[in-house]
Order: sequence, then structure tokens, then C-alpha cells
Amino acid sequence: MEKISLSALVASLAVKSGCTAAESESFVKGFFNVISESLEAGEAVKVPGLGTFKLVPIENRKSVNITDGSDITIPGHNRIVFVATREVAEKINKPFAIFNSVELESGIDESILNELNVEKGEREIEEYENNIPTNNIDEDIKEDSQEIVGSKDVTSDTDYIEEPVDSLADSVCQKNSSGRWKFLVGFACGLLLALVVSLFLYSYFLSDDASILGNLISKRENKILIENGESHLPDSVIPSSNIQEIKSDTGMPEVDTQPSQIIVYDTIGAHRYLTTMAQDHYGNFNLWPYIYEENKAFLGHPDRIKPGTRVVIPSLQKYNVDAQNPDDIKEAKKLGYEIYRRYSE
Amino acid sequence: MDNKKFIDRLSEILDIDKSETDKLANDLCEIIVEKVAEGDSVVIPSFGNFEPRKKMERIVVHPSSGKKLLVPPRLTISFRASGNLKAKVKYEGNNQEKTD
Repeated sequence: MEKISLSALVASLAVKSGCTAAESESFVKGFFNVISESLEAGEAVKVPGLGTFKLVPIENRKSVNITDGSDITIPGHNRIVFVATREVAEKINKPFAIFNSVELESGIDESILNELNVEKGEREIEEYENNIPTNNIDEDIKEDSQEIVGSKDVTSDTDYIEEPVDSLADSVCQKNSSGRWKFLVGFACGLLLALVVSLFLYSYFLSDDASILGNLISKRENKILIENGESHLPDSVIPSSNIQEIKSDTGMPEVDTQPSQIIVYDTIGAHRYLTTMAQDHYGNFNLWPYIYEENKAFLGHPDRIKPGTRVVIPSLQKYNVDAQNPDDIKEAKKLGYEIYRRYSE
Repeated sequence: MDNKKFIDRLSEILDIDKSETDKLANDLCEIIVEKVAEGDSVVIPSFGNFEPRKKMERIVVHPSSGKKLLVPPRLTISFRASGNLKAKVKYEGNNQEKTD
């Protein structure tokens, strides 16, 4: 924003009107002198092409002396106010002329109101009737008081200014709290939803098998397989007459281990490994290599078996293994190492 | 003092015809308004300055109908009197003692 000096103004006038510089200068000075004169005499002035300069009386105001804290009264005085003519105002507002006031729905979101100033409409409307000025007064009041004493009581001078300020404060407070409240409710709902979803997912992934299908099938199968119910019982599920026969899927190797044709299946899961199965079926997790060996045709690296892979749980008798025999456990361990060694080459 | 009186007074002081002062006054005002519209402030020593001001949009409640209006942002011209002038007009009558 540039500052146009008096001389610049004078020069522009001379150019525009065609008068001399001296004439222009005396005119401009005279122009403003007349206005000052009138104001000094206590009379408002209407200047064509500009607006009205007028005096507004301001009442006494109690305040505090900043230096010693003593009470002070700011005496009543006059303040100068300028109100532009409608034409001038429109000219200045030209860039924003395309915008018009918009009537708001009654159910407008109150959060919008938080950000905007809310004022009594009366003042807004009267402004155009060339009466009560708005911003000017508030600013001048602040300036005024600071000049004298630097008072903290800056808000109001006359009644009609005080009113809107109070209502503004009230309305802003109210709208603030209700907007905030709505936000909190929304946030709480979102949090609750997230909690429910995570619980759901958690339960899913914590289940024995990662794949949903595998989960369903294996559960059903395990139920059928094991009379005792749960497939993760420590007691080994050794093929016994309790176990019923099951049909196997096509493509899955069926091993005829017993004359009684009992086939035990289990499925690799996110938390169900060969060791887990060995623990469950044999009672000792170290016996996992036998499960591996039984299914090695389609198993790759023992640590990288895809969840959902169904394996046959052979009977330990097939491998001449006794779960209780510590030597057999040692053997099993050795077999485990051997299996790993196959993949390290 | 209304417009007419102002022009009269001005021509009186400057000793120029009224039509002349009228024209000059118009020209001067046009220049001032133009400058402010361009975003510059016009400073008159011992008088004050004219500045452009931007006002934010706001919601206005029509007191009688209770309707809410959204008033868009606006540019206005604002006048700030100089200390000199303010002092002159502060108290009614020049002879009054000031209590500063």
C-alpha cells in the first residue's frame, strides 16, 4: 500500500483539472481547511463526491491510570467519523461487487458461525442509510483510550456499541461449545467403530488358520476326527478306534497307514505349525519331522509351508517312534536337522 | 454544512467561482477515491488519511425477521483523523480546558 502525499495529490489535480500547480495546492489546502473549520465549530460537513465528516459525542468513561493504578475518568469528548457516500463505497468495493448477501437456512451448521463475526443486523442496514458508522468507532475508541491512559476497558463507549459486542461474545461462546460437542460425538463414534472392527479382525487372525475356508474345513474335520473335541489337546491323537474315517480332497495324498484305514489330517495355519501339530497329535513337538516326512512330497522348506496346506498326520508306529522314548525324541531332532540341511544346499 | 454550503464556503475562501470550485472539488474527490480504490492511502497533513480497508464476511442477523444473512467480504474506504485535528475537535468550544 503506497502513501500518496499531499504534493502528489496536488500534482494529480493540476493535471486532471488543467489548473496551475499553485492553484491546485491552494485549492486542496482550502478544501480540507473548510472541513476542519466546520468540524471545529462542531458542525458536520457533507462533501460532495466523498462523504460526510461528522462528530460523534462520546460519554465519560471510567478507566485506570496505567502508571499508578489509580482510578481515572476519561472525560466525554468528540470523535470524528467519516462515512462515504454510497457511490464512493460502491466504487471502492468494485472488486467485490459481484458478491451478494446470501440468506442462510435456519439449519445452518453452527461451526461456520464460529469463524465469522456475528453482529446485529440493525447496524448493518443502517450503515447504508448513512447513519451509524461501524468499524471506525470501535477502532477510534481503542486508539483514544490508549492515547490517554492506556486503559484496558476498550470494548465500549456508547450503548449501541456495547450491545452488539456482548451479544457477539455470547453467541460465539454458545456456538463454540455446541460445535465442539458435535465434533466430540463424531470422534467417539469413529473410535468405537475402529475398536469393533479391530476386535473382529483380531479374533479372525488369532484363529488357528489364516484362510477362512481352511479354517471352516479344518475345524469341521478336526471335530469329526477327534472325539475329544479340541484338536489342540496335549494328549496325542493316536489313531484309535475312536477316530472315524474321513474323505480326503482330490489331489491330497492319502496314506493308507492302518488296516483300519484311519487318516488324520491337519492344516497349517498362521499359528499352527508342524511343531504345534506334533505337540497336539504326538505329545511332543520335536516329532514334527515325521509329519513333514509324511507329506514331504508337496512341502517345501519346513518353515515356509503355506497356511492352509493340509497335511496328513501319520501314525508314529509307521516310523517306529515312541513319543515317550527320549532316544526317539533325539532321533526326531536329528531328522529335523537333516530336513533343514536339505534346503541349505 | 451540506454540499451546497461547502462549495459556497470554499469558493468564498479561495475567491473562485462556484462552478469552478465545484469542478475542482469533484476532480479532487475522484482522485482520492481512485487512489484508495487502487489500494493506496492518501495522506493529508494535519487532517488525516484515507485508507482502503478490507472487511471480512460475516453473518448478520436481521433483528426483526430473525433471518440470517451472509454478508460477503468487502472493501471500504476509511478515514483516520490526524492527532492535530482530533485535538481540535475533542472538546466542545475551543476555550475549554483540557484535562490531560
